[in-house]
Amino acid sequence: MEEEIRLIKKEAKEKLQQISDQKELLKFKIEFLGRKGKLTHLLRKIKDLPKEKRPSLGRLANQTKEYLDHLIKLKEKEIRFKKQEEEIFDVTLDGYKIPQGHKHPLSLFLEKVIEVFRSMNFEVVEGPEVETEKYNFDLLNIPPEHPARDVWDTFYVKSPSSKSSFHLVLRTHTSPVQLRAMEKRRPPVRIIVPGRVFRHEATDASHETTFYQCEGLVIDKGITVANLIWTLKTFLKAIFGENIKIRVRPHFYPFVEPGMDIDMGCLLCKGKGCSACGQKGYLEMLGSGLVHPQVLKNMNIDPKKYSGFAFGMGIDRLAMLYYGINDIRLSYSSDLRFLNQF
Amino acid sequence: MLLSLSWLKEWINYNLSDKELAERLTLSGTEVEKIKKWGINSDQIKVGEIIKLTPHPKSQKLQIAKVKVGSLVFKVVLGAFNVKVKDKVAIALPGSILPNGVKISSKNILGITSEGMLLAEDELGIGEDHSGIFILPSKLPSGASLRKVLDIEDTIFDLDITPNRSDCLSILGIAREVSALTSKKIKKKIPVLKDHNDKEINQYLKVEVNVPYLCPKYTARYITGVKVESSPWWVKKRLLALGLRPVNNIVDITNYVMLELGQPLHAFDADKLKSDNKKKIIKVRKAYAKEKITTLDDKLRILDNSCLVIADLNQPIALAGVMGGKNTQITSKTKNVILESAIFDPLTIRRIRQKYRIVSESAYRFERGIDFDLPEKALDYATFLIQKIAQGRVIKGRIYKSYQKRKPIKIQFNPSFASQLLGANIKKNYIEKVLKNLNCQITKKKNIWEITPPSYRSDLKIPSDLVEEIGRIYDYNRLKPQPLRCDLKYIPLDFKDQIIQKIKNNLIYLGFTEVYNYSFYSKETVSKFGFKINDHFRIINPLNPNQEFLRISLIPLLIQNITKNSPLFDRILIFETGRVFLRNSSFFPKQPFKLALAFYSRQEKNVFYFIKGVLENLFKNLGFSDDDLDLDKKRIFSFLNPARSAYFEIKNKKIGWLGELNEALKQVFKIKGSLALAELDLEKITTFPQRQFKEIPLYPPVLRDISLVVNKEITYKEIKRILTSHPLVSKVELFDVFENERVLGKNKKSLAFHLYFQDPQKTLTKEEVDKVFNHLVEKLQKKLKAFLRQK
Repeated sequence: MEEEIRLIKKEAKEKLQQISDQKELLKFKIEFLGRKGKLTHLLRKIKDLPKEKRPSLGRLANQTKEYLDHLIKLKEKEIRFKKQEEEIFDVTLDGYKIPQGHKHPLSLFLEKVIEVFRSMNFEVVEGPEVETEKYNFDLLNIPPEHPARDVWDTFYVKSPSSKSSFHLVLRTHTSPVQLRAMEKRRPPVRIIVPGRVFRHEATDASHETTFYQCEGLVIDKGITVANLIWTLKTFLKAIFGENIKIRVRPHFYPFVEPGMDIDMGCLLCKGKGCSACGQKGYLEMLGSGLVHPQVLKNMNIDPKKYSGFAFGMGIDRLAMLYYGINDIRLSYSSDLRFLNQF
Repeated sequence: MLLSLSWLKEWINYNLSDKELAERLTLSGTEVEKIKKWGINSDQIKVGEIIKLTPHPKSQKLQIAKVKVGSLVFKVVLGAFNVKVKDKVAIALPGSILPNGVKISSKNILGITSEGMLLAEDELGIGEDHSGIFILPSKLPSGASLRKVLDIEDTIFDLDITPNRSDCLSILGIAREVSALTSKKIKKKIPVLKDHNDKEINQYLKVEVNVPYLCPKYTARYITGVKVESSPWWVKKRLLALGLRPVNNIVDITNYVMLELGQPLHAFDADKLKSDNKKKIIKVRKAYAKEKITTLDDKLRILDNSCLVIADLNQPIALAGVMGGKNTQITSKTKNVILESAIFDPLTIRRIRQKYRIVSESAYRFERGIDFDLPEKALDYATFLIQKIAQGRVIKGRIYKSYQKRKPIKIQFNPSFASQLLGANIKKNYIEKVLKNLNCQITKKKNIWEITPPSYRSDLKIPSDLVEEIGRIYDYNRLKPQPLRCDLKYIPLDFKDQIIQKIKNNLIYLGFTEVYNYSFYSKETVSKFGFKINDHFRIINPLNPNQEFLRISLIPLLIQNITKNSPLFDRILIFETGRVFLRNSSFFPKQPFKLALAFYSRQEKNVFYFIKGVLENLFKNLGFSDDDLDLDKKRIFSFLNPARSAYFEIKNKKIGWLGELNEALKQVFKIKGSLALAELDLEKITTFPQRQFKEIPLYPPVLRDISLVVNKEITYKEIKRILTSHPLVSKVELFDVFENERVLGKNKKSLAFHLYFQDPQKTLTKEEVDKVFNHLVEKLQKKLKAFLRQK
């Protein structure tokens, strides 16, 4: 009898291995475990055995039954899994079209810029786009009719409400906001001013009448050129990566003294000179300098006690570099084939 | 400004390669924008002599030249006719390569083999002229390598000179910069002029400066018996290399000295000036109204009282400092020359130049300011050169009128201030060396140095200016960057920016794409939208008519965006945020920040409700509830569909509007489909609610449907208000709106709702729900004449 159980177990195991579908498995169950099944049959016979053999054989028979049950469960799982496996399903079909809008690349880039400066405890400030000449030029040490004004080709604006045309302009830079912001603040001050600015110049792939700037201003005791360089280097590295090369080049802006431009090694040619950088190997990224003592005075700040630095960058130019956009006009084209890429 | 390195080398010896020099200049503030080669740098271009010229048998536009090159003779076909026999010309023989990279080979031109090419100015790489063959000085030996017998090779830097550094607008100026950078001394000395005659200039010329404040300095020389001819090569070469056109020796010398020293000069043909008692008269005065002058560019200029002119006894002979007059121009017949070297008021020069749209090297320099000590030096140098190359005789003495007592600026400078501003320890002896190399005089008084800058550095006025000089010569790149230090503050984002950020992100998730449009539009746009011209701020000097009026709404350009994109897309969802410019009680515009949305669909009809849903979504995301939001149906703008437009209100405050574009405007903008718009003033939202948690109900709601028939005028809102009026009604959902005259009767509509009844304390019984339901039906009947729709 013991031998018989073992043989059934062996037979069952072998048969089970051959089984590959649910139908066969059902047949198998009936054959071995059904009411007239082979193992059931043996189990029934146990009660006819001598009393002393019953417990051990009973245990063996029950263990075998449990064992077969276990195997059957495994087989069932296998068959179920195999069924899923056999399904032909094309995962490469398109996913459902979830509505997806796109933020403008200049917004995306400005957000990055703001994030970097906010992380360095700068405050974001804004100001009007139609400005007075006083704020846009005079208070920034750019006297009327000075050749320095040639740099800022200006749109002049006429107000409908006043006949004596006050000198309104579309701001040519975000710098006037420095002065407006300082009407309500005292040092220490760290602000950035993102915003739209305007220049009266013919448009082409790299010039627009409308573009964005981000201005920055830091005023405190003991602010130095070395602080300025650190801040702007940190900013450029945060945006364009640790490995960029940076160069400081003296430059003239009437509202700073000393004044300087921050250049970045051209990313395309790695400083060798190419058409993107005009063979210079460097790209001009930011204008900057220590705030001119006269401008500090115009802010009612004592230049003997405080110093500060200011900087400005063209967001469009930087964003174009960042995203590889080759025509500034695309930004204001509303062309969805352009915007949908961001 | 263009800089010739070979000319610079006449002034200073510097031991730097071209590239090193460019870098030093750039890093000290004189940015080198381009480096270019000028002229010929190979031996392949030869000197040839024309020995015979014959017409081309097949073309009147061509001729054939026999050119002797050493002992050989070549036949060349050419299209220019400015050459004659015996002229020396530059010839490129087959196999040679021109400066512009073109390779020359033998070519058959209409049946004649051309064994090379005669070169024009542009092909030689020395200028832009292509109108004829460049004629070489006749003394050059035929057959020689051109660059070996003629100094025709140079390197040119294109410099960006900032407006504060007018002193750098000359070879001398750059030489001074190089001297400051390298500590090398300037070597060239301006030669000393020797006057010829014993007769004084005062016997020939009288100068009256009527407006000394516009002409603080006027100096002049009188030169007789000049021989006007083409300049020698060494003069021409400099002018060509720096982009000026040689004219004749007298005019060329004035330009030459301007390029070299920075002082604009002008030469008059003395015999063409009207004289008084045999003396020539020059007056520096304001022009009279409607006075006329024909300038050297052959343009007749009508003057007015704002113009500064140089005049003789009767009439203007030059627009001072800007351009000379045709009437006293130097010609080949000129014998006697008056040479002028002066200083004019920069603002006046600027206004004249702008008024007459004249671009001139002279005005450019006057506008930026001239070293007050320069005019007489430049005058004598130019006179010396005229004497040398045009064989003039220089009348003794010079006119010298100076009306300004120049007080040299003295700057009180504490040298430690440089370290303090730059953020590095700069040694005092280094500072002293830099300032001395810049020709500043230093008088030391204990800790304070009194610095007197040279006369040409009028831009140096305050201690910070000196710090810049020290910094730029030291090189900012050598400073060790120092982190900013400060007490940290909590700096919240501006409220408006918080809202914009949230709304923008939300719109992107809802499928809207952000556009940026210009801040201005055309007059045509103003009228198309029924706006008033007088509500607009206006650009006085627009670049084009499309950019004349500052926007009072973001909508017009948003609609143009739809028109532009609709051929390619069936469904367009766009938005813009930005400032508009509104009339105010003062002259200064209100500039609120607006949000505008547009939803276009070629097929969908219910675009209004889509935009409404978007607005609801946006503001619910900001924490507002359904109850806070409302629409007030009104006619708002004529460009909107009158039935489908309404003000959008939050907590009973109008913050904007939404609506569909009306049919007429759709036609104007060629929009086929439906278009809904909204515009909100984001600055009117000054707060948003803090969200509060509400207990999750423990007991399940009971659902009942109700189907009502009402008159069409009854709004959904009125019905809903009644349905939600009972405290046990927790939610009302509209699931069907149905209109059918045959089924419902005239002017009727049916609305069907799911009603949710819920009590926070217990599960409601059927009887309790029935009671509330019947109560509501009764109320609807009474107030809205609504009745239940029979199944």
